Amino acid sequence: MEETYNEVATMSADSSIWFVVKIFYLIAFFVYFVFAAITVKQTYLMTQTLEIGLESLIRTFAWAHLMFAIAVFIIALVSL
Amino acid sequence: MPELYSSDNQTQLKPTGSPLSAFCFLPTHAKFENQDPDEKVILLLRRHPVTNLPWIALGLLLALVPSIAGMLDVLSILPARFQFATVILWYLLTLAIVIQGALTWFFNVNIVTNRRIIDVNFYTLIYREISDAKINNIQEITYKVGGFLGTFLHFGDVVIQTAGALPNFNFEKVPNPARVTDILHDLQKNGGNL
Repeated sequence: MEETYNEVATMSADSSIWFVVKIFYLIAFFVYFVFAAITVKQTYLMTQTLEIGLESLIRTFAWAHLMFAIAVFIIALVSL
Repeated sequence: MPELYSSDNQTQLKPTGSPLSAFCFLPTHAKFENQDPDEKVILLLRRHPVTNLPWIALGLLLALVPSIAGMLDVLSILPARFQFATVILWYLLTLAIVIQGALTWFFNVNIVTNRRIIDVNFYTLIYREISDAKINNIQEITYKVGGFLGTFLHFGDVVIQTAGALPNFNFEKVPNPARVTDILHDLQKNGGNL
């Protein structure tokens, strides 16, 4: 009886640890999402300051990067 | 409005350099914030491409780390899903470094127009500094080429001293600093004409 209790307690502690680890990973992925969002804003500021002819390409890339960051965050949220 | 093409060396005044070039002479599509309607961009300068080597090398090294970690089985203490997430996070960090390096190089420019010189600096993600000075406020222009790479690949700093309390300008590690100095001297001497 006591062995079973210990096993359950160990499993519970393990799952709590991985839950905390999961939160840290999600925070890291969220920080990357914030970085991607700031990059979009930054590219808009930069392309307003200087136009060379590649503005639409750079803005498209920044938006695609933000979409990618959101997708990664959602996948992490579901699968971790 | 001063005439840009008043000198007899018109054959040398052809536009050169693509939008990705570090030395664009008379760039056709270049415009900047607060540009006057009759102001013409004569030079658009960036740091020499070789100055990008540190972040490119760092990006390549960081991209190799997950493979090395896989060979050494460093991540085996983690469950499979966390191993995968760690690798993804690592590649995202690498991508962030590469994106910032590329954007910083592309948008940190020095512009010379027929009226003024402009220094555009993006220091961090959200901090930018733009300074300008009129061509007729330029007092002294010095260029410095030093080091093995600078001498070999012909890039260096162009230091422009301006009158009074105006800040000095330093076009850092630009290609062909002698030609930049020459163009600035011509503009200064001819009041905005080449």
